[in-house]
Amino acid sequence: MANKESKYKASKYKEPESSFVRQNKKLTKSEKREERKAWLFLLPSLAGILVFVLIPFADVIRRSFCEAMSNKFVGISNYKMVLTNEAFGLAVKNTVKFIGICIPLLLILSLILALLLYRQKRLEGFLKTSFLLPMAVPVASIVILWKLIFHEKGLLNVLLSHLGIGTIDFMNSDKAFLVLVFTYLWKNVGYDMILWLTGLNDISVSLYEAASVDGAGAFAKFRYITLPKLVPTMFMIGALSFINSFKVFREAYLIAGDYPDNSIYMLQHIFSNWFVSLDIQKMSAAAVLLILVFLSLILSFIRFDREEE
Amino acid sequence: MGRKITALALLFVLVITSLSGCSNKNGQINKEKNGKQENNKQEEQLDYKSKSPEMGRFMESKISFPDLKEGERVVKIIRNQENQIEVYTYLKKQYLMYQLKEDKTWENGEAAWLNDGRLSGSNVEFSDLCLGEDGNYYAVYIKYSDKGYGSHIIKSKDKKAAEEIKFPYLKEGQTYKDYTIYPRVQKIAVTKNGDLVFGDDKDSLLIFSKEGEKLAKIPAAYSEDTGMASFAASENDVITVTQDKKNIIFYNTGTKETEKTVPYDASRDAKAFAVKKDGTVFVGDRKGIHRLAKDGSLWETTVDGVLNSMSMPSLYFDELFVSDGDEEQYYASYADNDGGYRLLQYVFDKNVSAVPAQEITVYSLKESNTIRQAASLFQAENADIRVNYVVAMGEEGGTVSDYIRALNTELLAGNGADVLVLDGLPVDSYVEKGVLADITDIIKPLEESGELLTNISSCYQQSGKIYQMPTHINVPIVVGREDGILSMKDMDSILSYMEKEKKVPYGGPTTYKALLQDYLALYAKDLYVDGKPDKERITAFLEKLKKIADNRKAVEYLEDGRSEAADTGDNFIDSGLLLQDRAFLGLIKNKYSIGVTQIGGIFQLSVPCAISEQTGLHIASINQHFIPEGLVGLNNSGANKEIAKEFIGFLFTKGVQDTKVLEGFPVNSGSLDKWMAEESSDTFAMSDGDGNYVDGDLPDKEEREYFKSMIKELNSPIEINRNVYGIIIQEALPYFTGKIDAQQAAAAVYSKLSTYLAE
Amino acid sequence: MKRKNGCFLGFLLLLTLFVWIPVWVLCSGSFMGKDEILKNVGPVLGQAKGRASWSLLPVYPTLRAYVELLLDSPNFFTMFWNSCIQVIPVMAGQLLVSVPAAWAFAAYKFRGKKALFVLYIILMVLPFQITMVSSYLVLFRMKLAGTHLAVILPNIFSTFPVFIMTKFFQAVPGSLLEAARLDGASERYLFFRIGIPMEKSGIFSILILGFLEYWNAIEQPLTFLANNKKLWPLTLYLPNITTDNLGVAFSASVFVMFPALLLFLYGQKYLEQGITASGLKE
Repeated sequence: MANKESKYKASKYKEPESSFVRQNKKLTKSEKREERKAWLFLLPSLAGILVFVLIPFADVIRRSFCEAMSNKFVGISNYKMVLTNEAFGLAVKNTVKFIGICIPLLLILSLILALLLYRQKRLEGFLKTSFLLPMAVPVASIVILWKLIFHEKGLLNVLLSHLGIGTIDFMNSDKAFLVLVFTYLWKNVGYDMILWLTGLNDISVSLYEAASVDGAGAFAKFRYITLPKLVPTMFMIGALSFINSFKVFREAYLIAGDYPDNSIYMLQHIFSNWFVSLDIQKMSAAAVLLILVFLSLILSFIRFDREEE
Repeated sequence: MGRKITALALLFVLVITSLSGCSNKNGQINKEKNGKQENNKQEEQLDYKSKSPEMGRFMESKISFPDLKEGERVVKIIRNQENQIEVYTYLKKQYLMYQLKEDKTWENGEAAWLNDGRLSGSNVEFSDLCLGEDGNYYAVYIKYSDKGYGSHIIKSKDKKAAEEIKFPYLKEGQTYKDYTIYPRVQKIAVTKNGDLVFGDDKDSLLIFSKEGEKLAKIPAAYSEDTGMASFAASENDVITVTQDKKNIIFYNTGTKETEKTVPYDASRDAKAFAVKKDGTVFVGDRKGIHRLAKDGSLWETTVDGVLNSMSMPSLYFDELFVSDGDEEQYYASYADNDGGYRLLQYVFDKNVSAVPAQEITVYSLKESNTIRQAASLFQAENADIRVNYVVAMGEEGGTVSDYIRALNTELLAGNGADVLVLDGLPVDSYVEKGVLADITDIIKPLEESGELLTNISSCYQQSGKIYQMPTHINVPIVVGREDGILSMKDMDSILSYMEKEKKVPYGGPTTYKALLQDYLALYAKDLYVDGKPDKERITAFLEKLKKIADNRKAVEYLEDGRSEAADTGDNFIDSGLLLQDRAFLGLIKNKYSIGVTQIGGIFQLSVPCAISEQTGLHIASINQHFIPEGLVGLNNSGANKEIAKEFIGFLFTKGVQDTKVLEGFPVNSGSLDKWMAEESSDTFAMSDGDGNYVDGDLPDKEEREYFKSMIKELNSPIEINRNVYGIIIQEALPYFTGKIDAQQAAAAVYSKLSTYLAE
Repeated sequence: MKRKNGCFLGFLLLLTLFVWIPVWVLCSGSFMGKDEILKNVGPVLGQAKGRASWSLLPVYPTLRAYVELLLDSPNFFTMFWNSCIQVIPVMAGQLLVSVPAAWAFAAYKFRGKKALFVLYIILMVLPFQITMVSSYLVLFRMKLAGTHLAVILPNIFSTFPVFIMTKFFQAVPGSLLEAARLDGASERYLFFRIGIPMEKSGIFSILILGFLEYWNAIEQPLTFLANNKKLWPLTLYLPNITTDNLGVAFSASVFVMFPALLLFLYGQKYLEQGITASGLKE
């Protein structure tokens, strides 16, 4: 499956593209024309985003400085309220913990899988489909399944007690965090594996051959060729995994409800509970804070990404 | 080239804007409204916001019965061959008939055929009466004896003399010991060729020839109102609804075939059918009166049931009569849930707008009969107002929180319902955020005039303002010895009482979950110090409750596997299931010290009263607690505040509160008096698996006075916070099942509860 | 070497059990009768005593649940149809909107490009809950709340496909475009004849990912269609599990999974020709 196309695009043609960057501020005529064309291509997307994302977003910012229903301006008191809120603190802690554990774990696991699958020709299609399959399982079905499996009286506990291990209430104890991590890995490991495989396939075989000639061992090849070449892929996968880490809330919510075990009480829980009690002002302030964090994260990510190159 | 791309982009923008532009027009609005009021198919009728209102609507008017004497009650309303309405009544072993004349006066008619002695014994129950399509009158009655019961059918040509028709089917009995039950015929219809159609107890119809030969059995939809299928005969056709409730069928008894099947979106309620001479078919149900031209396939709604009595939960359709001629008018006979009848007429009025000009929206999470009933009455009194009642939680999925979030978005958009039924909603938050308006100006006059029970209404004063008021209340009561009743005042007293009465368990068996719910309802404040949860208090609460649980031999699951608790999975706590002891009758043989149950009407008082009479035990309210039902509030930013206020006031008037809707005692004192004075000859008997038996009739006068004064002393509403309930029950259950100790459970409850409260 | 490969293969196959067991449970559950499924699943729903159990194959296999789902639940079809209405236009719309936008990011230079791309990335990462309320208000003002468009339009403008597509288009060699321009090719030609054909696997990728995302959407329809249950998609039908329709819940799950599964079988190869290794930058 190592396709020619991607090999061709990744390695050979990268350099010329970046050489087009111009330093001078003044634009030539052709550049102006190019710019206009770019905006035309962008226009539909921008217009839609403006209406459906940016306007609501501006509204969120406005609300973060106002009272919930009366829209009275209250300054930064909402921010103060959110930052001193114990529940918010817990939610931030849990979310950071979840992402901090999950993303590296997912990256490593999917990389291992990809390495195992790389060059594995037998049953390749079947294996890939198998690992991708969880993406297709509807969230609501996962909820029934997980209840059936992880419930105090569920199948896993039946198995554990056969093995002589006592029953564990996975859902309503701090084990819930593990279940959530498992769910996240289960759902996402397949796609990340595919992305790693693409990255692996893009590494030119000649590099390895050259290394072999120099007498490098398998580990050395991995350490000095594979890993460095995969760094950009890693950023990409990391970003996508980050997005998906916020989606696991659907499962957490449907399985454990509004007030799950404190170990999986996440930002989305507090958001949704604030919404139920109409604390829109707190929601908005927290949202703005969150976006600031995202922004700084992404910017530093990009900077890091570039330096790496 | 660039131009072409520009064009492409512009075209796209155009498509997008025209799409959103389209939706500004009424197409989308209609759809949206239609979704809200799922009852109506006719979008045009719903377009009440259109600038030039279409004129003309069928208006409802009540036809009062002839002056009935005391004790005289209507048993059936039919229409005779001269198209006159005939009302049959029963008074002192005598059947009477009145005919409605052109000038709307009543005239006595012939009913001799019913009075030949067959139907007038005290062991006889009148079942149904009809004028067959063959021109004969038929009546069905049920005769009871010590040995069993069975149905009988009589037939009369001239309304003077009657003959009984013998049917082999009616002799197919089932014998249990020495008690034989023959088929119970609840409704009858007769076709032109004399075939008889019976409503079975179940979901099918039976057709017999006049000689009694069984011709066919056709499956038909069961109606929850009547406990059988709805049907009618027209010529040689039998009309009924298919079991999947999707079609109306016309079954020809001559050819024994279903001649016609017409799609119809039928619900569970009873239906009445009528066929005009020209072949037009009519169906009446809660949604209204629907009309189908002879060879048509599309139903047209001529009378919108939402706007009149048809949608009342306390009424159901019995018969529908359509006048012949071009200007249709309808008569509808309804049975009400008190066993009475009501006759209403629908006449087209050209001077009324086709649809009401104004509208208010009432929102509730779960269906409320009170609101449904009141909406019908309110609209009947105010022809230009439509009450749009939105029930959020239907059969679709979604948790309570999902629905509340949806409601909140609407409230934020300034689009919320005008009147909110607050059961299950975050009331405190709504008050704090200013969502709810002060309704003192509605409630105060009602209090001052003595209409409203002030002991109830005064519980809802919040720093000089009133934001909510229950339309009904349920009362948890305790039955037991005097010291037993006194012990309910707090959990420590219960423990010391249990200590004293070691031989007898405090209460009947229950589940941990039900126990937690009940005791949280009563003593939840024990968990807090100065409004903050306290770990030691929680531990103490759980430990005490555990002692009670052990004393009552509580278990995790009952034998049938259910946990017998109030929440129904979607996290909506149904307060009607709280504080209801299962093994209530065990009190009779002194098996338990006290029994707790919830009462919401005079019939529910019967059992506790009978037990009290039998055992000498006392009955009292639990710490003057009551459970509010149907809390209504006014949306501060609603579009039609004045009408909404009027509607809220209307909910507390005697007219609304007099009707029994099975949601608890009324809070209108006049209605409460009326309820308490209700007479009924019904008796009851109850027994349980342990051989406890109790029987009796309604409470006597003294008892009624006692309960009335008890209700007037209630002063403490039980408030259920479903989040707190959910958290405590979830975290405390492992302690009761022995998995963790009280400290651990309390710590878990404390940490979750603190998180919840910190939000 | 061979043996090592065999070991790897065995290990991988073992891992696939994590996937196949749950899927098998769903499938076999859909063929169980009411009593059997209640006995098996009831304990975890607090509806039966004892513990959950499962047999490899249904003891009394039956198609009842499917019959009930397909014949006796008219709602199911409405909701299935609603799901289609809410997913297919989104995908078509995304193609129309995000592919050109991605082309702009990949093939052109313009001022503010970097900032704009960062904005797109941020919007891509934002959880739905953040702007949920405000989005509803905007849709409400536009009289879209409670219509299919309320779910369709905001999703069309998701920035995720733009991001993915940009990654793909960046692989189109700049020199190739430059050469084509010198030959007098129009911009439209570049986009339609070079960009799209070269990166059609990217287009399929965003279609597949989009389909999976929106086919399983829960929050958006729940919030934006709260008052119009008639338009609810299948995902909101599924969580409504009571003991009465447990069997139906399983068969419905299989049914919902089916289109996604088909898509995988046909489109997996496009996903595999994944995103080029070019990191996050624009």
